[in-house]
Amino acid sequence: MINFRRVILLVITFMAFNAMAVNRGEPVPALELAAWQDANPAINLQGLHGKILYIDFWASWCVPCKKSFPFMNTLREKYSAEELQILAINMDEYRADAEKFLKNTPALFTLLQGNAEVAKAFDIPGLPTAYLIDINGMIVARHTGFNKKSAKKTIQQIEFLLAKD
Amino acid sequence: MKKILLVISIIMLTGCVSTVEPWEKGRFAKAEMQFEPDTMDAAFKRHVYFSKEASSGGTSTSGGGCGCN
Repeated sequence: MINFRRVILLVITFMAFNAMAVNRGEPVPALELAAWQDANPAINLQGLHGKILYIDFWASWCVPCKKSFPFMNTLREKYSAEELQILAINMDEYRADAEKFLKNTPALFTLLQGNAEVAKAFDIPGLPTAYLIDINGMIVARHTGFNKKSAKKTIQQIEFLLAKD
Repeated sequence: MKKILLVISIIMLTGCVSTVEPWEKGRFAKAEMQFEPDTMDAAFKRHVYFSKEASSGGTSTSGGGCGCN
């Protein structure tokens, strides 16, 4: 009986750890992230309500990110800044690596400097991972990795959110 | 006393267990961390090896081990 109680306690503990991560239908974590360019102000993720948010976690060593960047550039060109805000959060250990990546892969969207705190808050399972957030600041979708299928689905989800709002 | 030592040892061992988070894998992706840093050199070595062994397999390669491709 005591062992059974211990098992239950362990399960509850693990569940509590899992509950720390964000899930669909939950609000975006209230975190402030430093802008890529020092001159720009820091951005609070919860202060961007009122427009659809596409948050992408990337790193220079992530191979699919080379393909997701042009996709995000097309999203930027397709939708206005009032409709959709794209935030790409860099997870590189060394900024120089990210800057080298950006020279070869230009970005037309907002870049932010990530950290372990934000990565843990979102519980990202790998890179790239993208989150779609509605105008109320609720997470509606998560895409891990990048391919044509996920790109198509993302556009469908954005269109759905735009039509809904 | 033995039990205390055992508990302390186990606690100390847990320090060896740390998970590398997905966003911390940048160093693994560096060229110096690869098993075969020079892919051309590795392909050449494989070619010579399979030609000498007159067989192929174990790793990806084309041809039947004749060394003629």
